[in-house]
Amino acid sequence: MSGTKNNPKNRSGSHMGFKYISMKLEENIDNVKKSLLHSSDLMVRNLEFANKKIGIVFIDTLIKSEVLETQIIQQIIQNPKETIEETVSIKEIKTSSSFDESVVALVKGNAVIFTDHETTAIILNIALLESRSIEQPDSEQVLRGAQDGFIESLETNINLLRRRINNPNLVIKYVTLGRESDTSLAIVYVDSIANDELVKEIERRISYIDVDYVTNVEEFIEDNSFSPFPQMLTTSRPDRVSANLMDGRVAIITDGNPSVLVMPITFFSFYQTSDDYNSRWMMVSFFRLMRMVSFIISISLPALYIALVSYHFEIIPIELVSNVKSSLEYIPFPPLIEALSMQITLELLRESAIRLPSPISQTLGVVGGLVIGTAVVEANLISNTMLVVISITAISSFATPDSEMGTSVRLLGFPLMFAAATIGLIGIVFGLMIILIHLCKLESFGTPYFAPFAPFRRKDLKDTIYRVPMWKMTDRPRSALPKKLRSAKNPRGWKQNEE
Amino acid sequence: MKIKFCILFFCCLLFLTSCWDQRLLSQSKLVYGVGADLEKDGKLLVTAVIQTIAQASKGTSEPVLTNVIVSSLANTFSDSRTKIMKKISGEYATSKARVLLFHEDLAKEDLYPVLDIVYRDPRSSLGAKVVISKDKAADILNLRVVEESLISEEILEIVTTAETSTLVPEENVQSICPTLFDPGEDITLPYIGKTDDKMIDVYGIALFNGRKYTGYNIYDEEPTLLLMMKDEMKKYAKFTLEVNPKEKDERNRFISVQVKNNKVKKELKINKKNDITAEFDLNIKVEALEYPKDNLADQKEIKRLNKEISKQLTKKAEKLIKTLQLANCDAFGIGRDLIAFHPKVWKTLDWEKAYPKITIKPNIKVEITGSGIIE
Amino acid sequence: MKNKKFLSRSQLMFFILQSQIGVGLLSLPYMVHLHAKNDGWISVIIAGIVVFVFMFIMWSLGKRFPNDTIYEYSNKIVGKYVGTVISFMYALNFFIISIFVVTITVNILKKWILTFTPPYVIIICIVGTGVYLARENLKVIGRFFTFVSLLILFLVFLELLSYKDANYRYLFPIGQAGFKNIMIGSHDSLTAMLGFESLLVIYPFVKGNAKDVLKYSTFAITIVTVLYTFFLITSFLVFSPEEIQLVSEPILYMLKALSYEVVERLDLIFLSIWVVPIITSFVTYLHIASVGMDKIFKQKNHKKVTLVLGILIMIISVFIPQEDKIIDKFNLIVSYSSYFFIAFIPFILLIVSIIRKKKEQNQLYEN
Repeated sequence: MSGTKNNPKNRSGSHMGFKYISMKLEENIDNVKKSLLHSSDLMVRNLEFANKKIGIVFIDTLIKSEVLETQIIQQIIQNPKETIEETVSIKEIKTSSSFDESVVALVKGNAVIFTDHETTAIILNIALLESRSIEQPDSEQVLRGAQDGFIESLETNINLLRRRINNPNLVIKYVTLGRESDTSLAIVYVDSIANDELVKEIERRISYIDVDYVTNVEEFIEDNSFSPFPQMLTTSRPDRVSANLMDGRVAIITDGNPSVLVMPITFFSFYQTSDDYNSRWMMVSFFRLMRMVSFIISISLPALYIALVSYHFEIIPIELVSNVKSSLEYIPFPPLIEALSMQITLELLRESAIRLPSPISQTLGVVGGLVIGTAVVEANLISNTMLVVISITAISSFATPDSEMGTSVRLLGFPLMFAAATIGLIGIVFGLMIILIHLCKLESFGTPYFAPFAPFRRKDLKDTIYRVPMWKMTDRPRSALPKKLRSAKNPRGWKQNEE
Repeated sequence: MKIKFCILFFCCLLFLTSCWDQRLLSQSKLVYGVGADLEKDGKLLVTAVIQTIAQASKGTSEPVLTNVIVSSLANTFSDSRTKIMKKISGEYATSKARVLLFHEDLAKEDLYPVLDIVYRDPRSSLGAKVVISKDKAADILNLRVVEESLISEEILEIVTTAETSTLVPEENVQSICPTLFDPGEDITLPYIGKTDDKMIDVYGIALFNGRKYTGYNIYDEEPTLLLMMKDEMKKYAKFTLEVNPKEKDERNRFISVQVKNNKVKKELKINKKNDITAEFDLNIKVEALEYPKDNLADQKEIKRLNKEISKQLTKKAEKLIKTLQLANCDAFGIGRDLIAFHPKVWKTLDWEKAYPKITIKPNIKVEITGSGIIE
Repeated sequence: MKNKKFLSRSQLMFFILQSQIGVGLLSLPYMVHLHAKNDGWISVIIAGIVVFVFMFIMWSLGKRFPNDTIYEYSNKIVGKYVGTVISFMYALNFFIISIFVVTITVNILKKWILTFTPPYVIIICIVGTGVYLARENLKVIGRFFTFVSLLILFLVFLELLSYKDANYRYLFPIGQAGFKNIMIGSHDSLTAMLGFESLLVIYPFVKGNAKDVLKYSTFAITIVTVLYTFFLITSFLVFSPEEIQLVSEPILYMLKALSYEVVERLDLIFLSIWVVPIITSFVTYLHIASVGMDKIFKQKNHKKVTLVLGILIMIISVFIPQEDKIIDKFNLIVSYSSYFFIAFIPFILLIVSIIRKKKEQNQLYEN
């Protein structure tokens, strides 16, 4: 069933070929220096312990200096016990007789103690994890929800998750990927809820990854890389991940990447935010509906406009026709060229706004808006109505909670524009049909992507384009095929007991 | 791999050579109204009103719309399209036409052949209003601007307002079609004309028999009555009647009422000899709009006014029916009722000859229920 | 021959619904009126009952072989050679009907919206989209069909808008057309209701016992009959009997004159949305034709067969000229030959299987 697993023997560090720890301390230390190609930050501290010479090897830039000084060196000098393991007060101690393992451990921020006349090395974990402070992720802001976000350190991220789900059933499985980079991955799920088959399938797909360097496993394990729609949720918010874990989904956290992948996912998960569960259901339903409308607008509005103006202006009511016609009167380009150029300009503006530092980007926004917008209309290059259409499209695509999905949707508007320019309204209908067929076909780890609309599941509708009050959401959505469907039991029982 | 490349290539080729049906809005000349007159030699003089942007307003934010009037002589409506197309730049688009104006002489011949292309073309505007005019359509349309608005919009607005006031029936090209083909009902259309001071006035309703204009019209209060008897009352319906003929002051003789509620009961009675009597019972509730005599608090006065108004309206209705039967215009659709509910009787009749002879009895009862904010 | 259970029961209902609703509805009031005059709505109801009878025969056949499509059990009933001939005829019939659907769709689109577009462009679009869906298995097709059934509601709503011009007197008197004319009208309605014969092929893929299949298929047929009657009555109410003889697509025509604040030519919108049920009918026929061709030519790759069939359909459709005469003839051939496939052969197969007492040997328990 499983393919070639990651072969630890093909890892870095073994190309020097030292396979064993020698009895001589100097030889060991020399070999270590050679393995690390005489890195300048490799340090050795020679000490004596129980009348034997020991050498503590460590990479200075990777360790916590005070821990090394107080808990290791100080303990060895001042309170020597029988063995080194009893002397040092470090939480994680391992012994190893493999030279490879020791070198790899060094690079991961461990201190390795070689003892003269002994072939085992002692590995102490004193790694220093420099990381930034926990703050709300920039790309996923909410108004009322939790304000913390994932950072680059794997341990801190798992910490944030464990604090939210104080459940012994929360399983964390470490996996190491990347031949040359040795990146750690953690697969996280709640064993009592998540489907066993799903977990097995995810592990199976990950086991096939055999590359040199990996930061993002999304494209290696997703079902269909050629689809414009993302099949995994990428988020930096711990509250979102923990909510999905409680629904029976599985999360993959990569060390060095603050984005966490959640799978399996449906289309409508991309239109839900954490805010939705912190506000009242009527407001939330209204906003969810607005997001659905924004999806439809961002995909089809430019195409609709092109079709109406080029093919079917009879649909426009008579009062509006003169307005539209007068704005189009002196424009030299056909509507398709107008739309394409404005969309491309908008994408360029967006890209440049990301690259520039914030003070300049604000000015650029003003420049882009006023100058390009107004001047272009005054020069009779683009019509007024086209600008309005493109701006509304852009705004509605930015309203998508997930920016990846928003961009995909905006890009899907391009083929629709071409279809509209070729055969008008019928072209848009065909284009939308093809997109809909694609959505019905797409599956994310066995879950239909367009659930609960495509295989129509009425019970799951309560949390998609609208949200019913919390006390009505008593069952988990079936899309992740969880083991336990029932998640709440009569939370408003106090009301019935009143009468 | 090569096959995929070929397919992709053909698809791209498709896009490059495409847009066969494209009719760019910016290149179309929108025709807002069309008028047709009958010339002496049997040809049609077709006048088209095209709305364009005035050249002076190029590039500014406030475009000024003007009219361009084009006319041509042709054999048929479609032929006129071809001839007009030769005279204008851009595409000739009649799909947004709002008004079709026909001179009464033209309407006296068959109306359908002129309208045939409007029904047949998938892009035509079936929502255009059909209007019969007393003066030549070319003259009316050449007015260009009436009370500061463009002529075609003016006609459209005037007719629409008249429809809301229950002065003319609400008909467009599509709604007259079933009736044009119905042997048991006839259409009625608005009748307008040009006044001396260069304005347009809605005179009344033109009566048709089958597909031809009869030449008979109804004026004053009779159009409103006709529409109310057909149960097609719209938002407003007003009558001004002379109820106190003996008053010295001219203004005190009249009362103006506005209809609030209208209940119509139509009954067809056929006796053994196949004589048809159609009875219309109308129950109208009105509100007094203007009554200078001012004693509407008096119940006796109200009762007297009710009786007087009812009598007057019934008399007007009888005059209206006489005109209808003279013109042989079955506006009420009594023939259609026969086809639907008394098919055997219908088969024995020649409706053209039988209709003027049947008896139609109107019975109008008016009740004043309100009088504004003073008594 | 294991056929996996792909369709749930409600998906079956929507599948049959969408297969039946196709391009025939647009000109249905006109065709029925030719003979049955304003009693056409009675013709539609009678046609619905007849469809139910035919479907019942097909269901009985399917009940005896709950895990086989007609391509498989026809071999079991009448032997290998005759069975293969029957399967081939069915596959060919579905193939020809899909070509027919493409042809009349192109005709209607060219008449109403895309007058100058060359037919091959429209054909490529229709067949391309159809192949993209038909090459999948029934699971995906069922999902898509269920979702687009929402559009039917929207179309009904659009129709309701034209009721302000309705004149109920056009419908009377009732029953004057005579029995024979009403039956001819039923024949026309039946042609528009074709699509339920897909039950012959999709029966084994449905999750549920025989009673469920019958229940949900009957729901589908009832909804289609009610829908058609509604559209028919609306057309008769809006157009006088004399006018409807001129209008060949009354359902579109009545929407043409409506004008609202935001939107005008509703018939364009109606027709654009209508393309979706038309494509679903095409997908049904293409899919069941390719399933048949799969079995006959013993191909494993369903996707390839669908693609090949699609290309064939494209090529053949391009060569059919868009002339009214030829399309009418095609219509005639299809409507009469369908009786052979929806009534005659299933009935014969049922009788033969009862006589020969051929049933599926191991009745697998379905839950």
